[in-house]
Amino acid sequence: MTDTATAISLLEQAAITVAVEHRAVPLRDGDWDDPDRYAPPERLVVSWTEPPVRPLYGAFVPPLGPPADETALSARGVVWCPDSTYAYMGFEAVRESPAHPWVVYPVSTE
Amino acid sequence: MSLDRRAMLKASALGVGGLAVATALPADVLPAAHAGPPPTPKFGPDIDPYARYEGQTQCIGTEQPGVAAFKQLLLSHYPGSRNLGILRACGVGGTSEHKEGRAFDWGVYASRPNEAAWAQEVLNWLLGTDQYGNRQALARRFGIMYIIWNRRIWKAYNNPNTWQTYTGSNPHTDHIHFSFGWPGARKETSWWQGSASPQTPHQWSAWTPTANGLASAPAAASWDAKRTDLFAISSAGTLVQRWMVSGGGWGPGSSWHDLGAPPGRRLVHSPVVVSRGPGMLDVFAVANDGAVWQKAYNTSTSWQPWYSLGGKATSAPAAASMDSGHVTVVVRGTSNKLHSRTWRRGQGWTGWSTLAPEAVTSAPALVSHSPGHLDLFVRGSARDCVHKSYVNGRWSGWTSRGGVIADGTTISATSMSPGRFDLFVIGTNNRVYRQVYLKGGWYFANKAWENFGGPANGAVSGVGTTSLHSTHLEVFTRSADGRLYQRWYS
Repeated sequence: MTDTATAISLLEQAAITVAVEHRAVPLRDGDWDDPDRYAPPERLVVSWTEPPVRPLYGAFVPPLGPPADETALSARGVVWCPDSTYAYMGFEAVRESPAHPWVVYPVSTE
Repeated sequence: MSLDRRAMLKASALGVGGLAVATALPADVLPAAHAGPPPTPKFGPDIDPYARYEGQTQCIGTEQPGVAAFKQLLLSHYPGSRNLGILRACGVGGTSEHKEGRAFDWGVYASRPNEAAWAQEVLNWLLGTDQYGNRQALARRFGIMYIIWNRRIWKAYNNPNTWQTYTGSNPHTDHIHFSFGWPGARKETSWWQGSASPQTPHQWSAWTPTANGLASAPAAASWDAKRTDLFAISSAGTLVQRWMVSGGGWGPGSSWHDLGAPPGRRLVHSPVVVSRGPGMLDVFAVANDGAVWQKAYNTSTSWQPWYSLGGKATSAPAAASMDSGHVTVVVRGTSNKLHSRTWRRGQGWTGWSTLAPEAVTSAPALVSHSPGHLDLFVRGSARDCVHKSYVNGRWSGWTSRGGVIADGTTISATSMSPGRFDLFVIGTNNRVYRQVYLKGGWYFANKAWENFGGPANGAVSGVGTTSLHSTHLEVFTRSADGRLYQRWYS
């Protein structure tokens, strides 16, 4: 794995962790405490472009991408669940330097 | 068509064409007279930090007091504007602070010039620079976390000097969305209190993968403001260690340092570690003989041989140091009661004594936030977290802190500063939860647990925590795939 691929992988992993942590990608209306309401972590993917279908809920700060390389200090993408049209999570990620970890901020729906 | 006198006066006062404009709009959205933004109290140069990002993690059907008061402030000063609400149903849509009562939608239309002017007036009021040069002064004094209006977003926690384009399912052209951080939501900021809130601008990192191959919950300690030592049990039943000196990354290399096990034994359960002072570590672990074993480190003598404290333990041990001359170890015995031993400088170890006669259902956790104080936590018979304090030589009775703790997980507590400790447990949904004890009371009301999140595939075996200094806390947990995850506050 190259350094750029590692950087992208770590950031995508951090973004998906935030999406899971905030239950930001529900698949339907339902009980807040119902774990089946939310996309399972293994189905979540990060996109650096707009999802092909704009789900019902979600927001992002344009422009999205490009994927962060090992020297990038900021990045914007979305976490979404393929085949789901209910919700997605836009995110912005920043870090102080390439030696620092990413801090991922979800873009709130409203 | 009739138009009541009040409406005509409002239209006239705004100078927006009077009758023509007023008659073009439904009565309930008539342009209204207003007195401008609310008068601003006199403040000194001290100001609250920018609100940090605190996303929705719970569902609370209660309007938070700072948000409700802010709503009243705007609605009373802009009588033609609309209240689009604070609360939202928990089961609809994505993440939103509305579901915690921490957001307010103020109804103004971007397409109506007079309402757009109100919106701009309020935004200028909130985001203007005060006489002391504090930018976005009133947004900070209210504790506003972000604002969305007319396809743009302003964020206190990231690039607060700029508005960014916002592309979302709702363009926010019929209302301004205000989200508040918890200090602002709780009315703890200077607009309400008169002086700047004591919160710091520090914030939590995301959960970050740190290492692989853990067979137990992690344990962590720091003997000074720059060093973190991390311990776990390997799949071979030995004690393993990693350490980090601030700015230098984790050592040694990419693997763990193996400290072995007591002769002829394997370690079982998770270890615990305390530091009595600079350069000192005491690690405690239970071996397959049921005894509690100690492994001590001192920079002048390096690692000492394993030392048996005896006992017949059925859980991981807990340990805390009230000062450099004390270490107390607590463990669950064969009858599920808690037993303890204490080391005192110059006196050595006491014998084992029964600390509490009640049966408990997990390994204990122990923390000392000040000399002479110990706080003990364990899972009770109802799977809740129960608490007992040691003050001035006496233990209190048990009190419940609520919650439901997952089977087979460890609890952890650590003190960042005198009078404060942070308590972490793992819930039945494999997420980490936190409570904070601060200056004699619990920070979250009603025994509420803050959802502290966790690795994407869940925290499975417990939490290890340590504090390097008064503004730095590190939290570790093990995920289902044996990977160590770390989250830190700095």
